Formats: sequence, structure tokens, C-alpha cells
Amino acid sequence: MANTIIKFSGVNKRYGDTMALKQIDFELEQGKFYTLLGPSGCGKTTILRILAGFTDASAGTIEFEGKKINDLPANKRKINTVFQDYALFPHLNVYDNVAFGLVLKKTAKKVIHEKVIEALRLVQLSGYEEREISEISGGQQQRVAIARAIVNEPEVLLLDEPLSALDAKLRTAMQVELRQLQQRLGITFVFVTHDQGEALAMSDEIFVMNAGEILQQGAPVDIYDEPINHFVADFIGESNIVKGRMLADYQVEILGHQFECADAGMRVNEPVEVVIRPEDLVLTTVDKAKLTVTVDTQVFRGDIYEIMSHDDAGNEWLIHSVRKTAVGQQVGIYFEPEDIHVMRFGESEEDFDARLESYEDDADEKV
Amino acid sequence: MKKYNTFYSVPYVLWLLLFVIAPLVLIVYQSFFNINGQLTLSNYREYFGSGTYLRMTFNSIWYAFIITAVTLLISYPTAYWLSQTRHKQLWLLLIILPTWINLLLKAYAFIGIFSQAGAANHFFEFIGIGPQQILFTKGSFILVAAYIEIPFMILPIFNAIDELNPSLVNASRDLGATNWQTFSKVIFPLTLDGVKAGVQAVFIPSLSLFMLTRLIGGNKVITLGTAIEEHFLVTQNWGMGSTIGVVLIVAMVVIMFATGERKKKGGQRR
Repeated sequence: MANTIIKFSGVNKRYGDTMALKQIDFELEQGKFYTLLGPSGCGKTTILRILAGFTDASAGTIEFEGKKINDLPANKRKINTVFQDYALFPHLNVYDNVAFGLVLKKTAKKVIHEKVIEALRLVQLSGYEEREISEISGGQQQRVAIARAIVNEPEVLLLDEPLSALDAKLRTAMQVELRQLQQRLGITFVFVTHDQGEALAMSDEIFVMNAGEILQQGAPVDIYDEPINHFVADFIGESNIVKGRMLADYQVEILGHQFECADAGMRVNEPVEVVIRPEDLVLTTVDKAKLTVTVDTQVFRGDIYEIMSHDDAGNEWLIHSVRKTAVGQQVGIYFEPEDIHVMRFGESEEDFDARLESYEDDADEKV
Repeated sequence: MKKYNTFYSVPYVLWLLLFVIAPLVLIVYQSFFNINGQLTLSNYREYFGSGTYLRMTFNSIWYAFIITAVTLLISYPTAYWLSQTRHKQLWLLLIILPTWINLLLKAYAFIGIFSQAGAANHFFEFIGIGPQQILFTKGSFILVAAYIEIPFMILPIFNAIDELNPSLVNASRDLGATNWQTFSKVIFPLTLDGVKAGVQAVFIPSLSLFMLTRLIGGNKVITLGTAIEEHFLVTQNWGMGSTIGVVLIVAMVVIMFATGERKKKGGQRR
């Protein structure tokens, strides 16, 4: 990679007998927005703490701009953190909180003043300089925390679930603001969250983690459309996952029916799992249907109806439909071949990428 | 609802009346009578007019200050270390434990240790310094007083440090602070309330220590506490004893306000 700023090679972290991180390898490019996504306890915060220097890796190397920084203390790293609980200093006012890092560096008073005012302007908190931390709202505290970090002009900004304490509306607004801020500053953001919606909305690249491992890494669209396994499919967005069997390239069998699909490169008759996203399922009449299901519940969500249904084999199907149906009614569902995502059991990310590449080349040649 | 509230407050109000208000009133009342039972201000005139009493006052404050300083110096690092350990509640308990033992017992124990043939002198002989006069010195008084007061200093400081959000320390490091800068700019200012509480808990009682001044200090240190005891038990000048008591009480109130928590008003500084 051209502008690699951070590189993890074979990083492990052990707490007693438990492995918090198992063999983590990744590279981060300068100026991109990365998200570590996973359920609590998956190790995402541990990676952040290792990056910030609050905790040591048990094994492996961490490089920053090509130099190993395993033993570099937190206060010497050109990395700043926005903490989950903001960790603003309650004995200092907004101005002094933001100025904290600059004062430590013995920056000239005048320069500090200019930078603090500018940082507060960037997070839209101009005029709040003299406020005490206890006097401002959660959303404002969060902005102060961001201002306090970016005023030091770090190369990398780490954000540890900074939006989790905000209400839904403010969170959405802050997602947009954070993304804009990152693009304006042009620095690398590493954002930790368990909220897949947040990850999809903000990131250039997402690392999906579980149980101390990175399961899949890629752009939001790729991860959403081509989840590597059951866990990723389930964690990223809502999904219908059913068992199937690969009959041949581009042919998969689900529930006794044969369907055309967009996946290839697997063994004949290989058992697989098939993901179909609820929004890809279209309600239709039984005679035009690819599958027939019975509606169990229907919930109006404003933009869509969320329909739970089941097929004859007992599999549950979640459908997002703009059209309404009736509970207890038999309906048909229809989907396109590219809506079917086939996942192999136990496939590593490398194999997965290699397989995708192999048949995508095929497809290109045919065209 | 209102009735129940008053009912439950009866023990507290009784206690307050009998053991706080009544003695205070009595002391103030007594302080206006001289030894012959005449109503007069002479006690106060004597107190503030004579060098002896002022010197005693100064002595009391000076020794209370030294005792507080010594306990603080020992307690802050101890409390900080305790808060970092695993099983911190156990270690803390070991420090609180001695406070459950009667003060007089501990004082007598120290007499045994510090006496001519005591353990301390045995040790001095062993390392070749030879026996020393330890008991009945100012040093031994300060040492024992500090020993007795230390738990009262450690507890509030420990609580303050323990309540400190650890991510504040991380944030400080993250923003480039060294260990010392983190301590002086974040940890200490944020645990100052604990220090103040500890100083209150140690300084105020130390002002009127009298038993230790006699048993351990051998009356080398004369404080206001000693003076009060003398006036009530020996010279029978209750009026003068009460006057000193009033002065002590006023001093305590002043210190309480000086070290008490003051709510910071927003935007006051700068």
C-alpha cells in the first residue's frame, strides 16, 4: 500500500488464559476512515488501546510510519483518542480541556489561543470556551472531546464508541459531522463501534471482528453484499440465512429448488449457507414466486413493512416490503440471482478473496 | 408523611440537644465567669493578653500542622498505591484495623516500645547506636500522633483516588503528559477534596490532643488540650478552661470553612 501509516503484524493479546486478540494483521492507509466493528468483547477496543499505547501487545509488532512503536509510551505517539466516556477533565473548563495537550507542549499562549478557538469552531462550539464541563450537554461534551484530540494535529485519531451515549437523532447528525470532519482534516480515523449502521454510514473500510479475530475487511458495500460467513452476514444488517447446496458454478439448491446465483468456485454438491437480504425479497403472487411463505407478523416501520414469515420447511424469512400484506396469508417471494449470496463454511478471508477474484476474472473474459 | 419524618428525627434531635447544643452553651456560659464565680470578660482578656496562652495556641497549631503534614506525606502515596493494587479492600482494612483498638491501649503500647528497656532501644543497641531517650520527646509525640491519625487521612484520600475515572489518566497520557504532569495536572487536583477531608479529620483533632502530650510527649509539648485539662482537673478554673475551649471551637469552625468544599462557579477563573 502506498501511504501505509499503521501496520499490525501478528499481534496477540493475552489476558491471563484468555486470548483477547489472536494473530491480528492489518495495514491502515493515511487519510482514510476505518471502522472496527464487532460485538462487545470481540477485541476491537483492545486494538484501539494497543494503538494508543495504553496497553501492550503480548506478541507481534505495531508500526507507525514504518517505525516499530511497541515500546513507545502513549504520550510520545502522534495518535490521539476520543474516549467512550469522553474523559474530559472535570476541573477544567472547555477552553482548558482543549488546550491541555498544547499547554503540555509549552506552545506559545497566543498560538494555543488561536488553535483552541479554531478547534472549537471546527466542532461548532464557538463561544463555549468559558463553560464548565458539567454545564454542557452530552453531545457538546463529545464535541469538546473531539476538539481536544484534533487540536494536537495527530496523524491518527482513535474514536472509541464516541456516539454510543447520544440519542438516536444526535447520533445520526454526529455521524455525518464526523465523516465530514475526517475528510476536511485528511487524517486517519480509526472508529470503534458495535453499531453496524454507524459503520456502514461512515467508513471507507470496515474490519468486522469477532472473538479476537478480524473476520472480514472491506468497503461497506462489499461487506454488506458479500459477507464471508454466517457471523458477518448476521452482524451486518438483517439477513435471511438458509442452508443450501452448490450444484455447480452459478447454480445453488435451496429448499429443494434450484436457483441461479452469482457465486462460483466451489466443489460440486458442497453444502453452503445462503444469505438473502430482507430488502432484496419482493412480495409477489404465488404463481410468480420463487418461494412461497406464510405471513406470521407484519409491523409498519414508517418507510417499510417488516414482515416475518415462514416457509413449509420451517425456515423464517424476514421481508422488507413497501407493499402491505395480511397476516396468515400465503405470499410468494421473488429475488434476482445476484440477490443470493453464497457462503462456504469455514472459509478464510484470503481464500474468499482469491475465489472471488478467480471467477470475477472469468466473468470479465466472457463479456 | 410529615408526621413520620418528625418521629424518626427524635433520636437525632435529642442527641444534638444533649451532646452538642447543651455542652456548647454551657462552655460559652462558663467562659464568662472567673474563678470566684463573677460574671466577667477577664478570661478572654487574660487569654489574648498573656504570652503563655498565645504561645500555647501557637504550639497547638504548630504541632497539629506538623502532624497533619507528616500524615499527609505518608498517606497520599500509600492511598495511591493502595488504589492500584488488587485486593485493595483487604489492604485498606489492615490500615483501618488499628483504629478499632482503644487509643489509650495504643499509647501504653508505645510507652513499652519507646521506654529505656523497650524494643526500640534494644534495636538501637543492636545496631551500635546505644540506648537513646525516645519516650518523652517531641519526636516521639509527633510519631505516635501521626501513627494514630494516619488511617483518618488515608481513607478520604483513598476514596477520592479510587473514584477517579481511570480514563482521565489515559486521556492525560494520550494528550502527551508525562507521569508527573498527569499527577500534578489531573490526579492531584481531582483528589484535592479527599486531601481536604483528610486534613480536616487530622488537623482539627490534633489541635486538642492532650493525653498523648502527657503519656508520650511527657509534657514537653504543651498544647491547648493540656491547658484545658489542667484548668478543669488541677486548678479548678473552669471559666478559663471553658474560654480556651471556646477559642478551640472557633478555630475548628474557621478551619472547617477554610478546607470545606466550595462549589466552583462556572467561568469564574481567568
